[in-house]
Amino acid sequence: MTQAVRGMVAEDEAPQRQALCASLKAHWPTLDLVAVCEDGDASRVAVAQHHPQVAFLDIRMPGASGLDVAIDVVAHGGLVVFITAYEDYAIRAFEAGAIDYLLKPIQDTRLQQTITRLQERLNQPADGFAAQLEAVVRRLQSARPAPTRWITASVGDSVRMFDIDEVLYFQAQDKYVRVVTAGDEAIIRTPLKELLDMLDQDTFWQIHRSIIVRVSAIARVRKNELGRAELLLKQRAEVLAVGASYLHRFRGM
Amino acid sequence: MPSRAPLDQPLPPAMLASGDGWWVRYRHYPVFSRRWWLGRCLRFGSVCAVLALLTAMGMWFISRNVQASLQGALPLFVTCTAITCLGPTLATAVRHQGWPTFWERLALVLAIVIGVIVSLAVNRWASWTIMEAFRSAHMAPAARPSAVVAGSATLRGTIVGAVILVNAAIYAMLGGGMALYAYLEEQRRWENSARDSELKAAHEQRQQAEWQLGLLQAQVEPHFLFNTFASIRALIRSEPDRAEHAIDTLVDYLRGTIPRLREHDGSIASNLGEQLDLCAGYLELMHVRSGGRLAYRVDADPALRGRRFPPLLLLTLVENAIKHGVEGRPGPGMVSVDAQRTEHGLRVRVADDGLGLRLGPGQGVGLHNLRKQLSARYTGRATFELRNREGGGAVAILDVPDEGEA
Repeated sequence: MTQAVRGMVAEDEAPQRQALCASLKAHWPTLDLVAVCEDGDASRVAVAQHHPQVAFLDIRMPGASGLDVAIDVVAHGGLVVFITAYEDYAIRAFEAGAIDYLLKPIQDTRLQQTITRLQERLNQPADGFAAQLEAVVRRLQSARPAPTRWITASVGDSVRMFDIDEVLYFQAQDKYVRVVTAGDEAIIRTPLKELLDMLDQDTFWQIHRSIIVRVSAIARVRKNELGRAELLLKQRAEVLAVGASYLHRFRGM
Repeated sequence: MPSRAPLDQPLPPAMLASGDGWWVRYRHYPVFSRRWWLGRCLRFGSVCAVLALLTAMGMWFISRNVQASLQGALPLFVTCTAITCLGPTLATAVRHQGWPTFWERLALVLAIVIGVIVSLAVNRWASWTIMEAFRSAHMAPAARPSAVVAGSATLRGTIVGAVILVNAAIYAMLGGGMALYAYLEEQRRWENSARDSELKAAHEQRQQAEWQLGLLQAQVEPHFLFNTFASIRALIRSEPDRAEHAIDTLVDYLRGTIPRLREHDGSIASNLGEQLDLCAGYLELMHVRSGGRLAYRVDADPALRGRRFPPLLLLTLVENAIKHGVEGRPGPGMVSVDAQRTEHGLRVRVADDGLGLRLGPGQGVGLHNLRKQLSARYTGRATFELRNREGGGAVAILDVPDEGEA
């Protein structure tokens, strides 16, 4: 192990960053820290520039997250060690063993084990590693989606937060989506399709190409003079069109 | 809730079967209570009075004899009032004795029966008096139906029996039979309502307990605690003075998170000063951890420090400003907290110079819970607003009523 290994550290908290660098220097003298970054965006630039073989990444950082940076590192053939204070789902994801993680505060004996493991990996061909990391990152990222609790939307010049329980329906209009409550309305730019994935499927139904409505806000569905289905709301006067391909939702109601 | 409805108070709204119209408003009080009795007798009494007045006018129109008209109308009024009010009056007297349920029910039935019998007797007297009045007014009284049916004795007997039964049924209904039924229903509804409110109380208690538990957990978020220890550990060798300062701050912070429980009800006591100190401790630790990247300021009139203020709310806003504002953006950041008195109460603001609000859906539970807590504690008397600041960042403005010293 006389050949220098290109390494990087990304950690937003200065004291921790400095301490980790010092420990690495002490326990792994041949590691050459080509980049030491304090946020995700700078880390991605550094990865592209230096192609580190080993990267120690904090998961929560300003700008891009440690997960995003990890994908870049692996794409350039590097190994990743995540640093995390407490994220038990993350820990579970790492039990596959392909990559390592360090729990904060980082203890020297644990760091020593990680270094040994990394040195062993560096001497082996890195086949299949990228795929494994990607699977883990995907699992980490998919562990995140939680139900939408509120909608931040603009009303004129100002921005207001609506509790999701207040929203009666969403309606796509040109580039915007209208967010309508009993006594108010605002706009967001999240596409309706994306919005649909973030809403509870039993609470909100899509009833038209451009409309998602709260099921409990529906007063009734009727046919108009042209035979088209339309929907009346309990707390709003306007009538919403129901698309023919969404009509099956109301059969048997 | 007592096992029986108190007679001097209106029934709880959930128990009311009738609407809010003038005619049924007396039913908002328990059946056979004094207020119920008064309301019912006034209403039925006025109807009787109107009937009697119309009769008097009719008789006067035909006979032009004032005395005879009054002689006919007065017994009508008396009978009508007796039928509708006598039984209920006796029953009201019975219910106010507060006897055990079985005896109360028995006595109430008796009271209504006696009321019906007496009012039947009054009716007889009144019919006779009215006939006399007709006679003295030289008016031909209408032929009595019984006189028309002059056929077989059995048929007559049957018809008379039927007429008496129908009469008795009508008398019983008007004379308190319906009220008696309502009284039995009321007992059932009262028990249901008592059970419902017990359930509700238990549910609220559980929510309160869960909330307090959540409070304890949230104040020492593991992510925060372990990161702080990691920083302190990192500082011990390089900057022992700052490490010592960080430990002192962490100790004060942790001490501040131990809830101070009120003795009388076990709820959490907290004032604005304590909450500001908690936020200052949190921000100071973040300042140390970030190596000075994060700056902060906490301003408040010292006179406001003793005012009652809910626990955790302010810390949630500060955490939010860090997590979604300052931490999201590379480079230095600033969070400022200030509190002031307003016309309506207290206003607390948490401002940051971070990312600002991004339009679209949000997942975090912090603000969702904050709104729920505000509405549970202040029921609409508190307002919360979060908006973008000119020149970048966001500001959270919380207005709560001033609830005095804590």
